[in-house]
Amino acid sequence: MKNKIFFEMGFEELPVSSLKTIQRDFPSKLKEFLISRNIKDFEIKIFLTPRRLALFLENIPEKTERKVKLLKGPQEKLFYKDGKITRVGQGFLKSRNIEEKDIEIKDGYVWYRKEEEGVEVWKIFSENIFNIINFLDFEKRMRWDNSKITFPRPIRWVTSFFNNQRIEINIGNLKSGNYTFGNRNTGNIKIPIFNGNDWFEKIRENYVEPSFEIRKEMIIKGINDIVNGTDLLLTKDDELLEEVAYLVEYPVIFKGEFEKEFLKLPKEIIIAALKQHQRYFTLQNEKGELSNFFIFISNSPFAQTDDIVNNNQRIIRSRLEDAQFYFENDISRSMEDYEKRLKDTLFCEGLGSFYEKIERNVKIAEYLLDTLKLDDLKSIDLKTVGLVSKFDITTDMIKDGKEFTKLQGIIGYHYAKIKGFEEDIAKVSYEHYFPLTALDKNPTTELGKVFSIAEKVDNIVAAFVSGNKPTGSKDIMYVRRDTLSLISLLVTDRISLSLSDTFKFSTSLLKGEKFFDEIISYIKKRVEIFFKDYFNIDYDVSRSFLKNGNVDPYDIKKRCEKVISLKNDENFRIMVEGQKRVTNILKGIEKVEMIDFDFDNDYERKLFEMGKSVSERNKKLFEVKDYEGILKNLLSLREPIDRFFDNVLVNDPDDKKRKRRLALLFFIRQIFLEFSDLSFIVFEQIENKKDEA
Amino acid sequence: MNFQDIFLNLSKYWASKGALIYQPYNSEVGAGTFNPATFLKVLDNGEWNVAYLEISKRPKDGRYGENPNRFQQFYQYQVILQPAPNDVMDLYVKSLEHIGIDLKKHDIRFVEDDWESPTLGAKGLGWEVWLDGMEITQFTYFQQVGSFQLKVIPAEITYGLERISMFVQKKNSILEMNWNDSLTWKDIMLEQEKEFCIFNFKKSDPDFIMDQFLRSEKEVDRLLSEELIYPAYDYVIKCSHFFNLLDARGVISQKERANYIMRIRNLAKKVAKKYIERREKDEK
Repeated sequence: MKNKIFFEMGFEELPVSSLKTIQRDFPSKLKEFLISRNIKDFEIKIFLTPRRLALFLENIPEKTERKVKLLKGPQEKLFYKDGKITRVGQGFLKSRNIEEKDIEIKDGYVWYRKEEEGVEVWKIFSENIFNIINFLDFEKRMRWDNSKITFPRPIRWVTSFFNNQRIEINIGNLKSGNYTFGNRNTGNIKIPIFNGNDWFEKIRENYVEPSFEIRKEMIIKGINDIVNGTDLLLTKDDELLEEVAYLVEYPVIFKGEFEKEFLKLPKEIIIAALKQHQRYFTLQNEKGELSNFFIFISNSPFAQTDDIVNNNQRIIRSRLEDAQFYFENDISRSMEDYEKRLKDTLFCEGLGSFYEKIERNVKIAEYLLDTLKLDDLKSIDLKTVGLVSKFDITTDMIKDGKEFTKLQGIIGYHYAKIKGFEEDIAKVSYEHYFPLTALDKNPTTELGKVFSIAEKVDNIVAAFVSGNKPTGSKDIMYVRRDTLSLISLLVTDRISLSLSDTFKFSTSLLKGEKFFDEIISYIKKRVEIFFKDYFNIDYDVSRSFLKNGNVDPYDIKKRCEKVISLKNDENFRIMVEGQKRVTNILKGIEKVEMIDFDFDNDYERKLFEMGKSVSERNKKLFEVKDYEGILKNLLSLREPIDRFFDNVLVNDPDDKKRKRRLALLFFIRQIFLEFSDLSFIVFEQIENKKDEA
Repeated sequence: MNFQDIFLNLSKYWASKGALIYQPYNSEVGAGTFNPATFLKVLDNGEWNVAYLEISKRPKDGRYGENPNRFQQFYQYQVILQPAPNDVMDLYVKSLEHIGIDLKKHDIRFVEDDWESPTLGAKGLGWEVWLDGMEITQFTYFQQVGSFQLKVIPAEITYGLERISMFVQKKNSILEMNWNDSLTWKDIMLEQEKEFCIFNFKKSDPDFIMDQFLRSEKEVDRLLSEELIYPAYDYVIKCSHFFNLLDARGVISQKERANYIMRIRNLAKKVAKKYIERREKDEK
């Protein structure tokens, strides 16, 4: 049982995203595969560097177990005729080398047992290993030779052993060998491998540390050695640490510095220059301020310190000089210049410029100030806020600045401050993009929230109007993200807002009225999914509110929670059943007017009186959004509804009676619909539970 | 090592590896990829190994010679190896040793960067090559050229010669870089650089250039209808350069930019299509 497979695949430097895909998915896919081949209790160890994937598969059997399989043969009616084996049947037995006693009949088919020999595990491995790797979900693939193989980068060597025996594996034109390669910076030496047990020692001797975790530790230790005893502190950045550990095979850590005068630039710009492109770590001084010293990681064990430090410093200096050039040009331009540039910048084909987009955002913001009664903000010139929120997309820093383009919003904030705008207005520049995803940071100011809602609502409408609505596979205008962020903001920030009304207003700005229904039904679906994913509110509950009601996510969430708290209440269940009966009887009926109130029995009278009373009391409770009280009132209708159904025949032959009764039920239904359409609520297996009890 | 020695040594090295040594193209191009020795030849999908110096013009990148790294014209060394040999990376790394870079003393890294030329409809997967953190080469396995998928995948290696030269000579500015033993880049190029910056940003005649762009665009179609593929391609190159000049002059709005690029890409695609059709006819 103590057998072992070693496998190494070497490639030209793989992108970090591909390495992460392998790390995340490969072990589980391999495990799944081995189990499907009846191989158990094995151990998988993975080693990943930018140039190699190595695998140790330990504790595997030599062969898979013998297996008896039940296999399906021909249909019984083809096999037997009048109790005798047909010619087809004879042929089948012969071809499978079995006799009549070996078969059994089940579900109208002939079945037979077949014993399968065990197969050599190395054989299974060699035939399948590359497919398992290549089946992973890589973002991008390429071809590099005349084979049909695609992979994120060219594969250059494969070496594999079963214990001491070399395994032949073919990947496209490449045949497995018995060698590996050392670090590229120490000569990329070709190293013979004897069985995989010698692999660690040999590649470590050649400056390759195969373990991702150890490479991370080497980096941390190297940085600590440099900063310990100084007043410098590393800015912790796990994401960067992980990325750098994937970029090198043998990390060597250096310290560099740039001229202090660059520290006058907004610190996000400096961090972007250091981190985004160069993958340098930033340092802080004791006061927590960005230092002009930085850390960089090389992959070169013999590099000469002076040279490598000077060269890296020169690079960062030239990047910061670029940033300074953009910065100075940008702040020398007036807001009028930027207004002109915004008019000149396309927002979306067919929907005009960014300037026009800003005008719409501002109009929606005005609408929101009215609707949400944010009277304090009414003295602010929203047009200016709109301009400040977006002018940075036309700055050189964002347009041409490569690694700085990701600072959209942040740049606007800094420039706006420099131009003398108030903090709250400047902040809108980045806050109106918040939250970036569901449950992410919300804008902190009222102004930020208003512009965040406006931005997203207009983006969503723009996508539908311009023919870019999201589909299963395509969402080029990020509608899904915007919708999720919008709902998230409203719900987590407890903003009660009718999206139905807001989208009605917003679609009118783009002459997109005809898209309104489609947009709202899309939004409803996302609300349902959002509630389910983040608050575990079941679809039936959210749907009972969304189906016909006003889309006010925060308000609906509150109502949902009340319903959920009652879901196990027997009274509630019976009331919902009553609602379902009412709904069924009224199916297909648009509206029934009450002809008179000449009820001919107490059940009708009682139901009507109760209904009237509940309706009136609820009206007041709706004003203060006391959903608990409303539900309590609705629950009080349970009994009169039950009595009504138990004692009154709705479809009375007397037409007048029938109409009166239908009108009564319609009236009752409307009372419920004010709150929600409870007939959507599903009670799971409650009957079974009762039986068990 | 002098600047001129670098491109001479690269030529010697790649010639010794079997590459044909070609020359820069006689029309303004933004990159070595525009040279027909790359753009058209790789569409043959045969064996084609070539190396040449290219003068790359990027009007918008000029800084009047005031920024040590940014210029409106610089030199590339372009290598195409089609089909890409299995050891192409090693061949490249070895080439650096021939231009005065002792690899053991430095950090060479291949950093993911998928190159794309939207005007040529060309793209591929590959890396920027970093030497001690500085980007010195673009290394790409072309997958598509002229909007057509390639059947035989070439490796394109594009060296940034000024940067390499700065590195080798330990200079902080391209201006100070020694071209030969007696002259620096500044001596030879600065005056020209400044004038072109003035021309690109301020003094070019946008109406005249726009007229040339529009007429060149029409010329591509006319020449293609006459089965004159190489002359037609010349006008694609000119369109691209005129567009770059208009862009630097600031007369192309952000709104129109993508549209111009698409127009040039369509021209390049028409030329590539005709070229491929002719090759297919030749084979029959």
